[in-house]
Amino acid sequence: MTSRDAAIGARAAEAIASAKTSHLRHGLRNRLGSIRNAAFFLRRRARPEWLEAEPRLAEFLDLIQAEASAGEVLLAEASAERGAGEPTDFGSAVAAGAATAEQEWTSAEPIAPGPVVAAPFLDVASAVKLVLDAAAALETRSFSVGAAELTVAWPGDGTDPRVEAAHRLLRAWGGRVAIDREAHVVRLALPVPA
Amino acid sequence: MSTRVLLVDDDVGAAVVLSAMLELEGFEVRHVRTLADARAELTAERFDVAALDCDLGGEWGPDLVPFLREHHPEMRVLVLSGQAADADCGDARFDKGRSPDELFDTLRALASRSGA
Repeated sequence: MTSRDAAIGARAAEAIASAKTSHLRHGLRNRLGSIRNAAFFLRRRARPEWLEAEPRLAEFLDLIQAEASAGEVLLAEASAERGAGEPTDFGSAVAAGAATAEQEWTSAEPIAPGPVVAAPFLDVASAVKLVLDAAAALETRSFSVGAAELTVAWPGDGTDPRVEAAHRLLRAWGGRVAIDREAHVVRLALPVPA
Repeated sequence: MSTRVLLVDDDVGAAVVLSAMLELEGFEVRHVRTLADARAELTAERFDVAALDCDLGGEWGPDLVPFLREHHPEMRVLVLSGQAADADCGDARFDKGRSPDELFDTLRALASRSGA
């Protein structure tokens, strides 16, 4: 295994861990948002006589909103967005990712160099590895490479955390990985810089 | 006439509270959990704004945008996300961590641009 293969594998593992963390962060933000919004609702609906009878009612409802908002900010700060990535030859990244997949894969056609996509090589290659590893579980063994797009047969009904991890990895670069259930394929696509 | 909002969010707890809050402010809200339910709702009802959560537990909320653009071009789309990369496809993005008053203002501004 080359150092580049090891780096792709490590990036893929990191992407899965990141997806799990992201799930947790998303869930916590939703919970905090609900608490904050519920407090907002109660504060607006509280009758004046209730607030007069117990001044701490308004104070505590405001406190709940403020504390929940502060928690949301903490979670948001933990998910910084990325800057611009180095453009990558899509075909080369697909070939490198396929070479590190757990199962052997064949391309429907020879993988041609280019087009260039606006995402780092390591992210594209590890996303390809994740998608192919997920599809291997469904006993698919071939893929096709289009213009900045990888297509793999997806006969299963369910999702796979590796597909989601790949999607989260490429999303920051404007890319996407999605299971097309009507066409029974999973597509990995990236934008081509103008 | 009140602004009609189609809220697509798989998180029922969050959606119930958000709907109550919006209704208190005078919006009419219909909540659905999946993209299939959203499409079904759109065939029967007219809405001014679609508010799409991104992570729908296996589905991606903004995937509804091409359908909306084709079949309901008059509707405006608000993507509920803190990540700019998630929301390039909508008319606006709203970070759910921002204040409810900002959400009301954003929805009203979108509704005023709706062709419905």
